[in-house]
Amino acid sequence: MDATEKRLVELSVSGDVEAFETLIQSHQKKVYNIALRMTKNPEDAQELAQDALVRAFTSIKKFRGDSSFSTWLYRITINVCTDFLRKRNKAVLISMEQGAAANDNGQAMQIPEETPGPEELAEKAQLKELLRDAMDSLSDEHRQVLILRDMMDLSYKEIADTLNVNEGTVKSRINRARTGLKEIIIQRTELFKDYLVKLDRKGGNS
Amino acid sequence: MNRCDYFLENLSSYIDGEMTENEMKEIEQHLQECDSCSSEYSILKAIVSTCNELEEELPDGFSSSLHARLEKARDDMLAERNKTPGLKIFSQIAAGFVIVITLGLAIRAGFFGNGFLGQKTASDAAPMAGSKSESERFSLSQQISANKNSESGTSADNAVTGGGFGLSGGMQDKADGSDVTIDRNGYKVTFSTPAAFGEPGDTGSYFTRVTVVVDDIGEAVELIKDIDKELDEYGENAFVAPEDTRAAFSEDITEEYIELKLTYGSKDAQQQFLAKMMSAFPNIQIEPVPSGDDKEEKAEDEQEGITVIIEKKK
Repeated sequence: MDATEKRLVELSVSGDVEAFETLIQSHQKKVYNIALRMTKNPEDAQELAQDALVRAFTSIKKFRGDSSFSTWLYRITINVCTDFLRKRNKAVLISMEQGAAANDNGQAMQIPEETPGPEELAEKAQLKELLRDAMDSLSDEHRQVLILRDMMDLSYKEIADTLNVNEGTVKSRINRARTGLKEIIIQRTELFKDYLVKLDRKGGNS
Repeated sequence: MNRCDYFLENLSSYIDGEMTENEMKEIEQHLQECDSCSSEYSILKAIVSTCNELEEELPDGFSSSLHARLEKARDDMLAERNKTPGLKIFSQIAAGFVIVITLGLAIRAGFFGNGFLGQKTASDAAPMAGSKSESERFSLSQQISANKNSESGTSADNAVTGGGFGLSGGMQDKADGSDVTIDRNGYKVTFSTPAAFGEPGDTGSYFTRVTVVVDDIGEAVELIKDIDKELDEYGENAFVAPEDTRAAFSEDITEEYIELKLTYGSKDAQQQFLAKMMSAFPNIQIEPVPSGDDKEEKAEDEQEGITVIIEKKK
């Protein structure tokens, strides 16, 4: 933790809202995106992201700098979202079968009918859309590790700290989650396989 | 393991750079040699890089509505600080809450069977014999002792689930063969004898799930921290929780539910922790959970230990 951050934390402990806002400036978008991917719903995501940020503010005196501030903040966010999902899932569990049945009736393919132009950008956008959908159909646990790894860019160690599990678990969970993601995507469209390979050959990014 | 299996299993670690140099080299070599794995790699890597770009912008008005909420939170906090301090949990107990101890299932392992009431606790100076010293042992809860006899006997009709513990308000303070009754600050708690929980010394693999329902999770965690700290001072029974549990202790607390995982260095320490927990929380539930059940993705660090689940009272 650098000196500025430390000072901001101290000010936040004393109840300085502006200092706290400065502190979270570069993190709040990620907090929102964690919540968005976890809940799959922008309204819930805004609410929960703010819940998490408010909670970080009110419990910042408990932040001791053992981990980085951002990891601590993401952990709170994950906890807030997990709580929310746990409660909601209790209610939703029963209606899940109906949901699955509806999908079989033709909604499973959410890929637009019209073929995108040859422009890679369009394809990329479509892939994003597809990926978002696929992500949403992963289990909460698998989605969680991918959010932390691929969206938050946390190391395995940081993910392990955040989720309170060991690194071996993180490693196998990430691998399984990605494989799951890939299978969902491939299943939904064989076409993308070529595109993905093409994208990578062009360099993609890592 | 065949090389492709090994490759696929470690592909994510490779993409994430979470490998040693030697492991990386091994993967790279296979990548050169195997077309099918190489295409698998391309696909996964493209997915990962697209995942990196999924981030969306904050909704309009996010910052301003957050600002309002933060200001409100600060005002609430300041108001809270000016109120009389004191733990709600303690005042609840002081108000005469009935202590109900529920034992869901027979405990297989030794900690009830093997000196739960303190007979074998090394740190106990007094020789342990009979229920008198047992009740001394159990008066660890100074928190409650300020309120002796306030509600004695009101609990006789309380339902007790499971077989192990019975609450017997108003009963004589005695050990009568199969049960041991302890007078605890006006409440009498009956423990079944060790035989009911399995052979003494049977330390079959299990962990213990402890559930408490409280008004304020933050305060409950503070209380558990205090209990843990007391145990820490025993030295030989030093708390050996992994770092990540420490972190859970010191950091965020969710509003409705929190789970703590504790591992103690000795059975004694575990027993003492449970005994103190029972003293501190009126509605505690304790149940053994055999490990090795087919829980999905059982983490390697979930060995014997105690899982404490703290739930907010509805």
